[in-house]
Amino acid sequence: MCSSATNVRRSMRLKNTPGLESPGSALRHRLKKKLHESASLSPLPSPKRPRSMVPNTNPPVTVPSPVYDEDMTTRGLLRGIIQMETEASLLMSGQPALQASEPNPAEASVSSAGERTEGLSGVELSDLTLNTEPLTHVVRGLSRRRPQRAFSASAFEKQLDQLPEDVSHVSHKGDISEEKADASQDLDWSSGSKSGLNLTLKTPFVEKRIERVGLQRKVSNRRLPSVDAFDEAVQRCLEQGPNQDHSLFQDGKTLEDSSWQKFTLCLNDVTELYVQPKKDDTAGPSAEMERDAEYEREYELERASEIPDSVPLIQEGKDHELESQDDDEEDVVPSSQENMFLSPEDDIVLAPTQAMTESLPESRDVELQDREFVEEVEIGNVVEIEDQKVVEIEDDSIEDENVVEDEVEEVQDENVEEIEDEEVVEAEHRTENPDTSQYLERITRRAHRSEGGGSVLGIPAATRVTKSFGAGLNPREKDLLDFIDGNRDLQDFSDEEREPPGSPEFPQLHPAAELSTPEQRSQQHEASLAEEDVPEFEEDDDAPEELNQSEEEEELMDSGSASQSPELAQEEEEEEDDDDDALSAELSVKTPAFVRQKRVFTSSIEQAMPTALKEVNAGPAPQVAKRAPRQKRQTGVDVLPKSYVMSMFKHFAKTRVASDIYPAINEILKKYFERLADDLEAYSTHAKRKTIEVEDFELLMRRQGFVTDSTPVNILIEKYLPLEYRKLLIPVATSGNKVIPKQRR
Amino acid sequence: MSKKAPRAALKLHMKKNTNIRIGKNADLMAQLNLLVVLHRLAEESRVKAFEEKSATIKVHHVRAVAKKMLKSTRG
Repeated sequence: MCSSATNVRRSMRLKNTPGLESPGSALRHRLKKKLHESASLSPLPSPKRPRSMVPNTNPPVTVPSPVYDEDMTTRGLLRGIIQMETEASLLMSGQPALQASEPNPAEASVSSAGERTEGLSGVELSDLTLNTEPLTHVVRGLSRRRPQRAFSASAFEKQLDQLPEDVSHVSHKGDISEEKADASQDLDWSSGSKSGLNLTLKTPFVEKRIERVGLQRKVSNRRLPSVDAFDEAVQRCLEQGPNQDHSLFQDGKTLEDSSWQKFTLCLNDVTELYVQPKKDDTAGPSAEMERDAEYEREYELERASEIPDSVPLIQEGKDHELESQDDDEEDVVPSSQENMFLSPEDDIVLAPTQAMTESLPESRDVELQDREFVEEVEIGNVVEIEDQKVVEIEDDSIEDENVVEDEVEEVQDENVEEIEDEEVVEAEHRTENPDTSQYLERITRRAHRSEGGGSVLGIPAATRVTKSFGAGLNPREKDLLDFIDGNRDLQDFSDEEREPPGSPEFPQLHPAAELSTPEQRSQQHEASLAEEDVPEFEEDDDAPEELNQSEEEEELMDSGSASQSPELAQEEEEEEDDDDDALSAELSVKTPAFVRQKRVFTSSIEQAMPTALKEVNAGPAPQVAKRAPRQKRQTGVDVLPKSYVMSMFKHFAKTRVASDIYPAINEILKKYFERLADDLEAYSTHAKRKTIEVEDFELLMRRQGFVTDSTPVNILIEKYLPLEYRKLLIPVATSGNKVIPKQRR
Repeated sequence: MSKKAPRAALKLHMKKNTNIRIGKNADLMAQLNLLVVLHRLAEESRVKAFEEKSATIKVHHVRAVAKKMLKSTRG
C-alpha cells in the first residue's frame, strides 16, 4: 500500500517529529488534529496545520504558526487550498494530515516536500477519496515546483493537453502546481478529482495558464500574417492551377514554380532575375499559363534586363505562338525566376486576373495573345478596377511615359525611360489600384527596360495599350495583351540570340517603328513634360548610351512609327493582331538597339533591381509614391551613396536603424558639408594657401573637439579609415629608411 | 567597417561652391571627419532612441540630435 510508502516517509519525518509511534496512530492523530484545526482555524492555515502538527512532536494542538508562515509562499497557499479541500471533504483521513504533518514546515526543503507529496499522494490515492488526491498532487506540485522549474514548460504542456481530458479543475490545478511533477499530474488526472474544490483550485491554474498562454499567443499572432498571406498565395495558386493548361507544362512549371514562390517573395531570385531568362513562349494552349508565365518572365526579364533574350521571344511570340512559346520555354526557366519574383506581385494582380484570363481564353487565340493575355491578366485586374484608364490610354500614352518614368526612377533611370513610358502608360491605364497598378507598372517598366529600346517600347506600348482596349476583350485583357506584347517585345528585342521572325511585317514595321518611336517618344515626351518628359529627357541625357541606342531605335521606330502612330490613334480598339504586328515590327527594329542597350540595361536594371525589388516588396504604398511624376534625375541630391552612409550609421549605431532615416541623414550631411567647406576654405585662406590641405582638416577636427591633446589625429585615422587610406595619411616607417608615404623633405 | 569611401563625392562636396582646391589626401581627411561626425551622430541618436525605450533608431531621434550636432561641430 501506499501507506507503507508513506509510512516509510513518515518514518523519516517521524524521526524529526517525535511522538509518532506508528503510522496508524499518527494518522489518527492527524485526523483528529485536522478536524480540530478545521473546526477552529481558518481553512488556509488548516492545511499547514497537519504539517505543523507533525513537526511539533505530533501534539494534537494545531500549530498554525508554521502553517501561516508557509501560507505566505505559493506553496503554502496551495497547501492551504488543499487543506481546505481536505477539510471540506472531511474524508481526508489522517493521511493528508499525515502527509501534511510529514513535511516539516521547518524543513521546507524541496526534497522533503517532494517526499511529502509523494507520501501524501501515495497515501491518499490508496486511502483517500479523489478529493484528496488532487490535493496531494497539488501539494506535490508546490513542493516540487522549484526544483522542477525546468520541466514546467513541458509538464505544463502536458497538463494543458490533459486539461481537456480532465474535467476537474483540481487536477488542472494540480497540473499547474505540479508543472514539474509530471508524475503527480498523472495521478491527478487519473484521479479525475471531482472535488468541490475545483473552483478554488482553478484560480491559480488559470493564472499560470495565462502566463503560458500569453507567451504562446504571441507566437501564434506573429504567425498569423504569414499564414494569411500564405493562404492567399495558396488560393491564388489554386486559382491558377485550374486555369493553367496542363498542356503547357513548361509554362505550368514556371507558373507553378512561381506560384510556389509567390508565397514568398523570392528575393533570392533576384540574382536569377539578373540572369537573362529567355522567355520561352509556351504553347498557345494555355494562354493563361503562358501569360502568367510570360508576364512573370517579362517582369523578371525586365528586371534582369535581358532584353536581348526577350526580344526574340517577343518577336516570335508575335508571329507565332509556338515560336513564342518556344522562346518562352527557354525563358521559362529564367522566367520562372521572374515568376517567382513577380509571383508575389503577380499573385496579387493575377489572382483576379486569372479569373479574367480564364474567361478570356477564347480571345486569346492570337499568337501574341499569350503575352497579351499575360499583360491583360495583370492589366485586367487593373483595368477592371479602372476602366477609366482605358480612356486615358489614348491621352495617357504620353502620361504613361511619365508614369513609367516615375516608376522607372526606382527601377531604372536611363535606358528604360522609354520603356518605362510605355509601361507607365499601360500601368497607368490599368492600375488605378495602387496595388495592382504598381505591380503592373513595375512590370511594364521592367518590360520596357528589358526591351532596351525605350523609344521602341513607347510605340509598342502605346499600341498595345490601345489594342487592348480596342479589342473586344476586356479592357484588362487588352491591357494585358499590350502589356505582354510590350514586355515581350522588350524582351525579345533584348534577346540577341533570337532573330526576329521572318514576318514580312516586321521589317516594315521596324522601320516604321523606328520612325514612330522617336516621334512617339518625342510626342510622349512632350506630352509628359509635366511629369515625365523632363525626367525622361534627363535620363536620356544622363545616359548617352541610351540616346545612341534610342537614336537607333528611333530610326527603326520612325519607320514603324508612321504605321504605328495611326495605329496608336486607333489602337485603342485595334485588335491584338495589329498590335502584334506592330510589336513584331518593333521587335525587329529594336533588336539592334536592344543589343546595345543590353549592356546598359543590365547595368541599370541591376541597379534598379534592388530598388525595384524593394518596391515590389514594399507594396502598393511605395508604388503609389513612385507613380508621382518622375522628376529629373538629380545628381547632387544624394550627398553620399545610401548604402555607404547607412552601413556606416548602422555600424556606429550598434542598434537597429530605421531605413527611412537616410533622407534625414542626407540633409544633415548636406548642411554639414556646406559648413565644412566654408570652414576649410577659411582655414586655407588664413594660411595663405589656395588648396585645402590635411592640416586644415586637422585644425578643423581640433576645433570640433574630436581631436584633443590626448587624442592625436593619427589615432583617429587609424580608428576610422581603411588601411589603404591610413597608409596615405600616416607616414609609416619601413625598413630601408623609407617612409611611406614619401615625405618630401 | 572599412568600406570604400566615395572620395569623388566627398571632393565634389567640398568644392561645391568655391574653386578652392583640395590637397592630395585631404579628401581622406574629409572622410575621416565625416566618419567621426557620423559616429557621433549615431551615438547621440542611439542614446536618444534609448531614452524612448525603442530598440531602433527612428528618424525623429536623429533629427532631434542633429541640430545640436551641427552646432557643436562648427569649428
